[in-house]
Amino acid sequence: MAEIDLKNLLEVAARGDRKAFRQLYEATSAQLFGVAVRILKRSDLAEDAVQDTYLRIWNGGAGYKPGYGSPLGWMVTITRNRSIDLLRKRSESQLNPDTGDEIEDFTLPDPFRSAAHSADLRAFLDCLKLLDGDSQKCVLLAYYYGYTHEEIAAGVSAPVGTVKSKIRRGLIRLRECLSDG
Amino acid sequence: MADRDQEIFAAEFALGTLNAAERAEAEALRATDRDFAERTAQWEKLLSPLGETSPPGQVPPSLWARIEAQIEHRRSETGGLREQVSEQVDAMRRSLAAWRTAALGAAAAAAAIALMWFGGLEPPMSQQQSPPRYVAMLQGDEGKTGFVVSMALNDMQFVIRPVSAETLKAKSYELWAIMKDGKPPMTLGLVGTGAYAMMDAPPEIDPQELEKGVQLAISLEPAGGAPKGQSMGPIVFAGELIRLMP
Repeated sequence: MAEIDLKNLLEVAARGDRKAFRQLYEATSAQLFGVAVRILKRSDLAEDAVQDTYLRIWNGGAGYKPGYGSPLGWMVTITRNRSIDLLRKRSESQLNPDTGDEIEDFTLPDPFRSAAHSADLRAFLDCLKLLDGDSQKCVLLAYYYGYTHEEIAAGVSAPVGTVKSKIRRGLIRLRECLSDG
Repeated sequence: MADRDQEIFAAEFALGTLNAAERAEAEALRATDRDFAERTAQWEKLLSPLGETSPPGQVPPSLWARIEAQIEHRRSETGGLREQVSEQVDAMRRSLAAWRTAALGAAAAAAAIALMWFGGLEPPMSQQQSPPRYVAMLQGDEGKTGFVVSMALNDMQFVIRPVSAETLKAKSYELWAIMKDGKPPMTLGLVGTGAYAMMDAPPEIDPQELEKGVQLAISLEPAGGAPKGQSMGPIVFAGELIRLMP
């Protein structure tokens, strides 16, 4: 769906228009659910995160402003934040482990093969390419899965300090590159 | 924390690598430190295009129904409350209107009395820059003045002076302000029949609104005041707060 439509739907929905809200949901829920379930690895928790996102939008408490970037990117940001909050809460209560229904078979998405192609994304990917392979991988693991430094370090078998500095350097490089563009 | 670290901390928050404790710290900082909030927002925006590349998921069909149910639930909660309050305002306005009809003849006299009453308190002409003063004669349905209320704009404090209101045993007089903007009546508090009482105007009263006209009313409530701040009893005295000098 074109960005201009989402922007309009967001505005109209936040003013209480049920039809626009439904259209917004139809247009974006699969994307948001994908984000949430990859981080939370459980359908029920992902539903909670996505529900919270839409309720925030409906209640107008999360007013979208053009300065926030693309409407979809902004919605994803809300869902990611909510998902990571739920994930951290869950890992804090590890004494009471969840059973059974965890989804494990996620592979790390390859953003360069994505069908999405907004101008913002193209600029972002052009800069992401400049990062060394390790930095890139660490940043993507953190972004798609919401992993902590420690979890990434365990995943890539590297010391936490190394992962931290790779991510820091990667982020700073990304910002420099994007502000040049 | 050095400037550089704040920037990294904001970036790590946005990327999502902070553990629970660090994340809580960042959230607290974001809520209280505008500069930090701005930094996190910039990092979130910088990373947000990546969100488009996240593969879509299979949304459970029940999710929309859940969201809709939540919306309905909240709507009925707030809608119900709004209805309740507006009914109450209507009742109070009806009551005021009835009183006004009965007391119409007394209105002009009331203004004249007010001028006499407070005439002695008026500043001399040389001090005309002093803040405006307002007064209301609160009268009952026989035109009897029950209370006189005055206020000066500089201190936004009501001075309530009982005139002929009967002393109550098992009930209380409660003073209300009814603004022209259609908001629910605001309680100013209980008033006795002793010498006089002073009460601060609630912060919700915008001094500008006073110029548009405010009705003050005294209702008869159960001892201790209206339950939940909502008037239940009849209005026994009422009057408009008017500016004393043009």
